[in-house]
Amino acid sequence: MSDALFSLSGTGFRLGEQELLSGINLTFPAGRITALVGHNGSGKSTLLKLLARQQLPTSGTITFAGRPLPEWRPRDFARKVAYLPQTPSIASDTLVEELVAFGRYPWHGALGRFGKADRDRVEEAITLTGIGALRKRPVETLSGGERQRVWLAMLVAQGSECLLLDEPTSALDIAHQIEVMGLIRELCDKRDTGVIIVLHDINMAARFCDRIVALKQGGLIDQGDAATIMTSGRMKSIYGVDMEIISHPKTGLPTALA
Amino acid sequence: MITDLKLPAALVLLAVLSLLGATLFALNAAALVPVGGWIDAALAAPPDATRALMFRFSFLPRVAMALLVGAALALAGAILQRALRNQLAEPATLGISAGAHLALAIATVWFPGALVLGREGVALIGAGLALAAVMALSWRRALSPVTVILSGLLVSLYCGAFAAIITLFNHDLLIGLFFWGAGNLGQQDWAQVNFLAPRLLVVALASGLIIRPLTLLGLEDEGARSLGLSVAGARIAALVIAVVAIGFTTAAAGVFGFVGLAGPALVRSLGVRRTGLYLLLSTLVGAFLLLTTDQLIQLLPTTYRLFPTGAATALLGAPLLLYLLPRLRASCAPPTATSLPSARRARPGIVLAVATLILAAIFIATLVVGHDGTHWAASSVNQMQGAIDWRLPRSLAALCAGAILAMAGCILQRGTGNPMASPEILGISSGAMLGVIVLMFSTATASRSMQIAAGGAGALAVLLFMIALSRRSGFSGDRLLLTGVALSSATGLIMAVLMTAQDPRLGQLLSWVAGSTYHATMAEAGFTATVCLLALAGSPLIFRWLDLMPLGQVTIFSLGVPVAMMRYLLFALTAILTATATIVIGPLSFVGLMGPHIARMLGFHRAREQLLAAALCGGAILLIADWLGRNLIFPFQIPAGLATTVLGGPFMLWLIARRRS
Amino acid sequence: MAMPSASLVSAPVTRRGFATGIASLALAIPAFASAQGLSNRPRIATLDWGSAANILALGIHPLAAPEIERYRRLMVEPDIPADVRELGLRSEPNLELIDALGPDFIIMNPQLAALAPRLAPIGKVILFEPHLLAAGLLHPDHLTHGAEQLEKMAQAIGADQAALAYVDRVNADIAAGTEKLARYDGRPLFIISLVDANRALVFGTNSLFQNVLDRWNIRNGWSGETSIFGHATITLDRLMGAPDARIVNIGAPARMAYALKARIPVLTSLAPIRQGRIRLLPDILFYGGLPCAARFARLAAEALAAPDLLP
Repeated sequence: MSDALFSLSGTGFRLGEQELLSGINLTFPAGRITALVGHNGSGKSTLLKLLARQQLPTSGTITFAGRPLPEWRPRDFARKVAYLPQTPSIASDTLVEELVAFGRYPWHGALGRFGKADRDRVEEAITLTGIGALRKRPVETLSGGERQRVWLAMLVAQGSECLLLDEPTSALDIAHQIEVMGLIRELCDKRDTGVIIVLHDINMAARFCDRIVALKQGGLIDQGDAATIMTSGRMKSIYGVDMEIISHPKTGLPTALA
Repeated sequence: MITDLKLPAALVLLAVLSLLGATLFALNAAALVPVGGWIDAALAAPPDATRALMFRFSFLPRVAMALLVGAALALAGAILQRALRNQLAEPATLGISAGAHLALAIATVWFPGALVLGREGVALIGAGLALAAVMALSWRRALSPVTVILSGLLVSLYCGAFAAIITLFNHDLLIGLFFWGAGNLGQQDWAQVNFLAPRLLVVALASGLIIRPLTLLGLEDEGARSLGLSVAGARIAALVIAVVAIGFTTAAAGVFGFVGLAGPALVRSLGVRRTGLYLLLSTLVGAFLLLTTDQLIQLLPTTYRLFPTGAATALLGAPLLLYLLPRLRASCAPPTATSLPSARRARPGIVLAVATLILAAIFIATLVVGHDGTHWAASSVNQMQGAIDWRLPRSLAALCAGAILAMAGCILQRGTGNPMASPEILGISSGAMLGVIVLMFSTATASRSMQIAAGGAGALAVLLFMIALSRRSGFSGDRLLLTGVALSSATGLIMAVLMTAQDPRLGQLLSWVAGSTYHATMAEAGFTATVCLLALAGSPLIFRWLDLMPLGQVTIFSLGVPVAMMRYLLFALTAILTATATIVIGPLSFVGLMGPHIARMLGFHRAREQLLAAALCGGAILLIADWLGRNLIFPFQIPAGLATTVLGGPFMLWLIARRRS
Repeated sequence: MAMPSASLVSAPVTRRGFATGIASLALAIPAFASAQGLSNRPRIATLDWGSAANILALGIHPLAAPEIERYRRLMVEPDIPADVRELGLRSEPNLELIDALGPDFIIMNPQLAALAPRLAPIGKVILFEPHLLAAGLLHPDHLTHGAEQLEKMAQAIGADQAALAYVDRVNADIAAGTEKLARYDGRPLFIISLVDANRALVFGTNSLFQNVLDRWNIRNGWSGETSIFGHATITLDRLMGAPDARIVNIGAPARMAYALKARIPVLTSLAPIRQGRIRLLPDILFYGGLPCAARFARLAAEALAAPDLLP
C-alpha cells in the first residue's frame, strides 16, 4: 500500500487573531510512520487535531482516502483513524480491560452487540501491547508508562488503518520511550498501520520513523526520509540551533547532538 | 510564568462594581444624612437623633460588614475551588454554614437562653462540629478532594435537613433565624465589625502564605506530590484557612450562599489563572459584589428593603455569571476522580435481581404496616381498601420518584464527571418552585391540577432555557451546572423573602419544598411510575455513552460518538426525569446526589449496573423514608425529602467510613 | 388529574372498616370516649387554626385540629379541650387519621383546597376563610367579613344561633373596650412585633387589628404598604415617622423586654420608647377572624388603659 492517507491542500487554522497554521500542502503515505517535529508552538499538535477532525480547518481542505473530512460519518471515520491526545483523561473508575474494549465503539456503536469479533480484537490488542497482567487494574492506579501502553492498546483494538499520536512518549523515561516506540514500529510493520506521530526527540524520530515532517511557526518547513533529513543544515533551519550530526557508534543511525 | 493577559478585563469588572457600589453608597447615605453631616454623624450622634444614629450605628457598620463578608467568603470560595479542584465548591460545600445554622435553630427553639449569651458563640460551636465531622470522615483518605466534597455535602445536607424539620415544625418562632439564614447584614452597632475585622485580617495574611502550595494543589495529587509538596498538609492548611473565614463570617452575619461561588467564578471566567492574582481579585470582586448588592437593596422602595442581602446577591451575581460563563475556559484544574474507589462487585446481575425482589417486599410492607399514634399495626384484609387509598399513591410516588432522581443524578454525574452534580442544581426544580409560588400568590384556592400545571410550566420554561444554552457549542458540563446553581439562587431569594415576610402561606410552601408525597394522587403516582419504567426501558440506549464518559470528550469524539448530539440528548433526558419527579413530590436533593454514589460504593461501576443500582437505591431510600416519615411521629408527618436525608445520611456515612484506604 | 378514583367513591363500607380499625384504638383514650358521648353535636374535623378557633367559639368541640400544642402557645383562646385529637402539621393534616375519625364535616382554609376532592368521600368539606383576602383594598372590614363567613359556616353545620350569639358577644367585647379607653389620649398607635434588634413586623391599615382600632377611634401610626394579611417587615427606624405615637408590641414579650434592657441605640432613640409609651402583649394571631379580633380587643384595651411606664 502506498496510497495517500491524508492529503492537505492550502490548509490553515486560525484562532482569533492568531494564525496557528497556514498554507500547508502535504501528503501522508499509508503504511508508514511519519513523525511531526518542530519546536514548541510550531503547530504540530494543531495539525494532528485537524487530521483527527477535533477541529475544523479555517482555510483549505483535508481529504482522507480521497474523501474530504467533513463527508466522513463519525463512526466510519473512527474505524479508519484513531487518535491519542497528548494528555488523555485519567479515565477514573475504569478498568484496563474496559478501557481497551471501549476502542471497539466505532464497530458496535451505541446499541450493537459486543460480539466475538470484538472480544477477539480486544484480546489481540492486550496481547500485542503486553498488558495482560494489568487487565483488572483501575487505569488511574497505573504508572505513566503503563497508562501509555494501555491507551495504545485501546487504539489497537479500534483496528483502524491510521493512528494519530500526540507525543505518546513525553511522560516516559528513556526505557519506556523505546519500548513504546518499538511497539508502534511493530504495529506498522506487522499490520501495515499508518502512523502520524508528534515527537519532540528528533533522534527518536530518526530511529523509529520512516518520514519526518517539520513545521515552524505554523508553516511546513521541511520533509523527507528520516535518513536524508538528518543534516546539520536542515536541523538548524528546523530548530534554530546548531546541531552536530554524528553516526551512532552501534546502530550507525544518524544522531543529532545539540 | 507568562503574564496574565486577561488582567485588564478583570480590572474593568472590579472598577465597574466598585464604582457602582460607591455611587449607591453615596445615594443611600445622602438619603439618611445630608452630605455635609456625614463626618459629624459618623463620629458622634446625639441619643435622640434617630437618623444620625442610624447612619453611625447601622448604615456605616453595614457597609463595613458587606465588604468584610463578601471578601471573606469569596476568598474562602476561591481557596476551596482550587484546593478541592472543583468549580462548584463554595462556603456551603463543607457543611460549615449548615452546621452553624442548625446550632442556631436548635438554640432558638429549645435554648433561647443560649442566644442571650451570644449568637456568634452558638454558631461557631455548630460550625466547628460540622467541620470536625467532615475532617473525621475524610481523614483516612488523606483529605482527597472527592472525599472532602462528599463528606462536606453530606454534613451540609444532613444539618440542612434537620434544620428544615425544625423550621417546618416551628416556623412561627423562627423569623429572626430566617433573616440570619438568608444573609442579613443589618447592624445595630460596631460590635460585629470589631469582631470580624481582626479575625479576617489574620485569615488574609495566612492565605497569602499558601499561594504557592495552592498552585500545586491545582495539579493532580500525584503531580503535586512529585514536586515535593505534602499534599495532605497543604490541603489541610488551605481548608482550615477557608473554614476559619467561613466560620467567623457565618457566625457574625449568617448564611451567604452565592457570593463565595460567584466571586471566584467571575474572576476565572475573565481568564485569570495565576493563584495569587486569582485569590486577590476574587476577594475584591466578592467584597464589591456584596456591597453593591446591599446598597442596591437599601435603595429599593421601603417595602422591599428587607430583602436579605445574602439571598439577593444572586440578583446581581446570577446575570453576570450567566453572561460571563460562556467565556469560561476549560477548567484550570484537571478533572478529579468522580467517585471514591471501591471494589467491583462480582455477579452484579444476580445481586440486582435479588435487590429488586427485596424492594418489592418492602413496598408491600409500606402499604400494610403503619403506626396510629399508639401501636404499630398491620392492616387486616378488610382494611386494605383504606390502606390502598391513602398509602399506595404515596408509596408508589416515593418509589418511582426516588428511582427517577437517582437515575438523573447518575447520568449527570457520569456526564459531567463532577461528583457534586445532582438533578436539583439543574435549575429545573427552581423553575417548578417558582411556578408553584406564583400560583400560590395569585389565587387563594389552588386545585391540585393547577399546582401541577404551574409547577410543570415553571419547569418547562427553565428546561427550554437550559436546553437552548446546552445547544450552544462549548456550553456543557460544569458550565451548565454553574448556570443551574445561578438559577437556583434566584429561587432561593424568593423563598427567603417569603420566609422573612412571615406569610401565613409559608407552611404549605415549606412542606412542598421539603419534598413531600402528601399530595400525590393515584393518577400522579401512576404517571411517575410510567416515566420511571420508560426510563428504565430506554436506558440501554445510553449505557455505552455513559461508559465512555470517563475517557474525556476528545477521545469519545475520536471513537466516532456524535458528542454534541449525545450531550444534548443526555441533558434533555435528565431534565425531563428531574421535572417529572419535582412536579409530583417537590425538589429533593439527597436521592439524586447520593443514589449514584451509593451504587458505586456498593461496587456497581459499569454504567448499566450503576444506573440500575442507583435506581434501586434511590427508590428504596425514598420509599422507606416516606414510610418512616408518615409513621414515626404519627399523626405528624416528616416530608419524605427530609426523612430521606436523615435516613440515608448515616448509611452513606457508613459507606464512606467502612472503606479502608 | 383524574381524582377521585373509583375506589374512593365506591367503597365507603370497607373504608369505614379501615377507619374503625384506627378509631377503635383511639377509643381507648377516655377523653375521646367522652367526646363520643355528645352525639347530638356535629362531628367536625378542623384542618387549620382559624377554623378550629371559630368552631370552638361556637361552643362546639371539634374531633380534631392540627398542631394543638403550638395553638395553645400562639393562639391561646378559645381554649382547645384535651379531648381534641391532634392532626399533625397545619400544612399536611393527616388524611389517614381524618378518614379514621370519620367526621361529618371537614372545615378548612381554602389554602388546603387541593385536598377537597380527596376528603369529599369522608365528609362534607367546607372551605372557611374568615380573613378578607382582597389585594389592593385599602381598608377591608375583616370583622364584618369574619362574622359573615362564620354565620355562613355555622349555617352549614346547623349552629346558626350559636354564631349569631357569638358575633354579638364579640361586638360587645369590642364596645367594652371603647368605654375602657374613653380617656385615651388620642396618640396614634404602632402595632408591631419585634423580630430582632433591628426589625419588626408592623401592622397596617388593612389589618385585622386596624378594624378594632377603628371602633375605638384610634389612628394607626403606620400608613405604609403592607401585605394582604396586613403586615410588613420593616427596620425599626421606619417608626421615626410619628414621634408622638405609642407602640404596642405583640408576642414574644421576653424578646422586647430584653431589647429594651440592652438599650440598643436605634431602638432606644425612638421617641415613644424613650418616653415609655410602649405596651407588651402576648401572642395574638393576626388572621383567623373574630376570635383573634376579640382577643386583641380585650388585651389591647387593658394594656392601653394602663398608665405609661416611666423610662
